Amino acid sequence: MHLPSKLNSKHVVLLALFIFLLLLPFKNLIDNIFVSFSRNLTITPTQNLQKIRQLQKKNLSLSLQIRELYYLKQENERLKKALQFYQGRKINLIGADIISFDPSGWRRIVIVDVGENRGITKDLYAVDDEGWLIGKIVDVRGDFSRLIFVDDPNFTAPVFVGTNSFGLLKGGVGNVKILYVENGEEIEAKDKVWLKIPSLTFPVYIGEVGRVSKDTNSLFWNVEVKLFSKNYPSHKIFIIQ
Amino acid sequence: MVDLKEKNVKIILILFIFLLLDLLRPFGYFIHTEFLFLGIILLSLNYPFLLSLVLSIIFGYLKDALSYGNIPLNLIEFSCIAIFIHYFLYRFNKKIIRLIVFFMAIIIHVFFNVITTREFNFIFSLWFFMHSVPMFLLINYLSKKWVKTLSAEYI
Repeated sequence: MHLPSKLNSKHVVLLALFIFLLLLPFKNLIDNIFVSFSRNLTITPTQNLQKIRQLQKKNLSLSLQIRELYYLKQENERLKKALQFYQGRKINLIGADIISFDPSGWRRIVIVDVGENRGITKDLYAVDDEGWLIGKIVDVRGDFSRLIFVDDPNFTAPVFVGTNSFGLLKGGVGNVKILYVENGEEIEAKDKVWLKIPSLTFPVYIGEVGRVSKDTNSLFWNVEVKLFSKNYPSHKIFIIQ
Repeated sequence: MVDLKEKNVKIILILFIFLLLDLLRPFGYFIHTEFLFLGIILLSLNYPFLLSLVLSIIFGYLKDALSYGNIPLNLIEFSCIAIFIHYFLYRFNKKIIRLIVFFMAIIIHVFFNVITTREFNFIFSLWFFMHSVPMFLLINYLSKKWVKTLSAEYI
């Protein structure tokens, strides 16, 4: 007796393999199809939600301006200059939603719904709704971009620690640290770790120092960082232009 | 014939759902596991070699297409895992071997990721192992109810 199930099953498998080989070169196409599909899966903001997002952006912009004023005041007192009148500068922020995450458990990369269409370029930094640095843009397409979080193993950025030290911040899952720190003896626990962005006149904070140590034969100090941002569930980020 | 097709369609659907879970992360980064990877292990342990290999290649490619990076690591890794599991099941078809093979697959996955990220964090790897094991047992139990294989060879 003819056994159709066994025969058809093999044919189905071979057909699937043939179709797959046909689709093999179209990685970018699959990427674009998925992003436009998942954009519809995530909850799109209603009018009220859009209003809330605008108010959050305005609130963050005002908070950052206040922080800028405080920083400038400290700088003036330290340098003992006369109080200067400060005119607030407009800070360009672009709000974005997270569409999807990198499927690997070891990576901390997300896709956001803004791209070249909104003036996004590579290496722009992003903050959360409290103004803490959360990552930077690594890949830009027409209407979406990829953002790498601070605790991704491939994230690096030049940072300052406290007032006198600097180094290279290197991300890591559960283990963010600063490399190439020479004067670690001047660093204490809870010193602020911050970043200087060219378009801003004040620092953007990333976290605080957790532990400082030095291996016996090493030239540099090991500085562990505790991040301020705990933004992952909220899906709202702001990119600094 | 109908049972076999339905069973194949169900596993493809399960793998698609797991891929979506990995992409959308409804639990954020609180659960340290990869659902698609667990689905590939489930597939390799319970389905014929040719189907396992083809679906591993396809879903490995899809995962690479939606990841950041140019090297198709998941395609290579998933197809190696499928071959590795089927080889051991062919040589030693006992229930305890299926358990050992499952643990070894997780360790291989950790090893692959440590090499690609060039960073080893013991605590994170341990969390991954501890979250993956109960999650796989749950997936295994639920799929046993849903797929209803003819031979009860699940772990």
